[in-house]
Amino acid sequence: MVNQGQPQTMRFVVAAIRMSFRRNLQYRGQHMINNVASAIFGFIYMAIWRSVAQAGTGEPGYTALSLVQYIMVNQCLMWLTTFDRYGVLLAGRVRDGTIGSDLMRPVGFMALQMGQIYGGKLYNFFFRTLALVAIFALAVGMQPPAGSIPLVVAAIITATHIGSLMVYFVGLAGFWTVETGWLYILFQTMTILIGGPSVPLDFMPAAVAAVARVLPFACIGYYPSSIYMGLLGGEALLIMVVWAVILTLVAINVTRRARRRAEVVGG
Amino acid sequence: MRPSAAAYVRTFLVLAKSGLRERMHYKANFLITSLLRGLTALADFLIVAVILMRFRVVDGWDMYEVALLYGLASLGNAIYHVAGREMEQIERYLVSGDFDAILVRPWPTLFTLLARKLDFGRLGNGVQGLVVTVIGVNELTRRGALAGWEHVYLFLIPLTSAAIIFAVALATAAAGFWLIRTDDLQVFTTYAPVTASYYPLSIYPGWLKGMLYTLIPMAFGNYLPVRYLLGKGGSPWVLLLAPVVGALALWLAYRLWLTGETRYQSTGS
Repeated sequence: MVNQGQPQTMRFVVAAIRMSFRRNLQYRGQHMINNVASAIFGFIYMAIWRSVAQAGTGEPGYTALSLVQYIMVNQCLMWLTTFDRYGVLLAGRVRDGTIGSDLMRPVGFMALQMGQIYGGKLYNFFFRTLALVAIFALAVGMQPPAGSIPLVVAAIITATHIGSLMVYFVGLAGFWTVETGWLYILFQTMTILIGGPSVPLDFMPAAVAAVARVLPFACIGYYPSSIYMGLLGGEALLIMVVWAVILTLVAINVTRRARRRAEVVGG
Repeated sequence: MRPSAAAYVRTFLVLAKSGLRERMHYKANFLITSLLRGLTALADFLIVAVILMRFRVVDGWDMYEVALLYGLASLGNAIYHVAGREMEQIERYLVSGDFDAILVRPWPTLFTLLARKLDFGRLGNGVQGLVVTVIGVNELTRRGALAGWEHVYLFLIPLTSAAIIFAVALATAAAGFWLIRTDDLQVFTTYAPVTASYYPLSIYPGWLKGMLYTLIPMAFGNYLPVRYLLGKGGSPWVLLLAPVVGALALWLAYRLWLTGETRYQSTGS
């Protein structure tokens, strides 16, 4: 393959981001209805926490009010980190062979796919996350970040990158298995159970919390929201960055193997 | 000539068998997906169980009482999902014009649509719902909170729940004849209210409670009957009213479907 160089690759990635953003834009009307539903999911856990923690939480740094904020932040973040079916669609294209056209492009396969995923995330930021922030701000009074703004921004970007890689892994699995829906479900389940979007890890049984803290799922729920709320600082961001680097390297390596495999089986 | 009731049952069973055979082509995938779907559904309960391990009660309901509420709704949701899979795909039929093929069959359109595919992959949700229900029932029976005929009534609750969820989903699908796009509307009318029904409705803000008692009457599926059975309030009439609400909701939703059907326009392509 002819090496077109970094600027060429960047142009393709930016084009992929723009295309993906515009594709999503067509459905913004329906997504607004979905945002109200998403807010209801948030209200459910807010109501549970408000009810149980009225008389105190027994956990330093947390009050009933801060737990309600924690749920709101996570519900907004999940549109950047967790809810994304692009990986399943990508795996479908591997299965029906149409992925061949992507593999033939004069640009890295991973860069192109990550561009598509980032485009979806960028759309979600404007039309899902910010819409939810507006709903929560009006309905419950969502507060601005209590943590340092640069740290919060870095945490959100890192969490979005880790979430994007998870989506990409679901798509890559299509090179090895017929059906990847189960991997997407597994990713969501692990995130909900031990990523801390509904229960801060500090409230989990000690052994579960100890394991969950060192897994990447905490990097898309517990860590970024705790940084937003000023409960954790740079040390949490460091764990997130380490996981982002590890997962990126794994993704590069698996992409190389996937390309070889596609060439062997004919796409 | 209209098909007989026996013909409906026969046809449905044939299609159900073929659907199950299709799923079993990829046995490992079918089992893993079912298991994971069950685990995902269970995650909602595990999260609340973790909270209740620390705080003991949520608005007067302890872990086993919430388990009963959650398990029964989860069973109802699984029953609905096995049968209602294609109804959730209505947007695809309307956008592509594939609904034409449904209209030309000699069966009512809803029957043809539902019979096209039964989603046995959702049985995993049913199994986890059953397990959580049994855990709740065992403990509540041991305490004497549930006894005798109340156990018999428990069998009716998932059916009422399934009927109400089905009715809401059917009304949403029927709205598709006017709106075309319904996928996101389903999340609002069905998924979010079903999740809300897993927990005591008394904890929610007034507007959400109001919605779950009237427009999307999930309260009658599990919360109101379970609340009465556990001696937490309400009238005994609710045990009779709940299945009536389920039947009425189904009838109203089906009327809306029939009305919507007359508005269907193909894609013209």
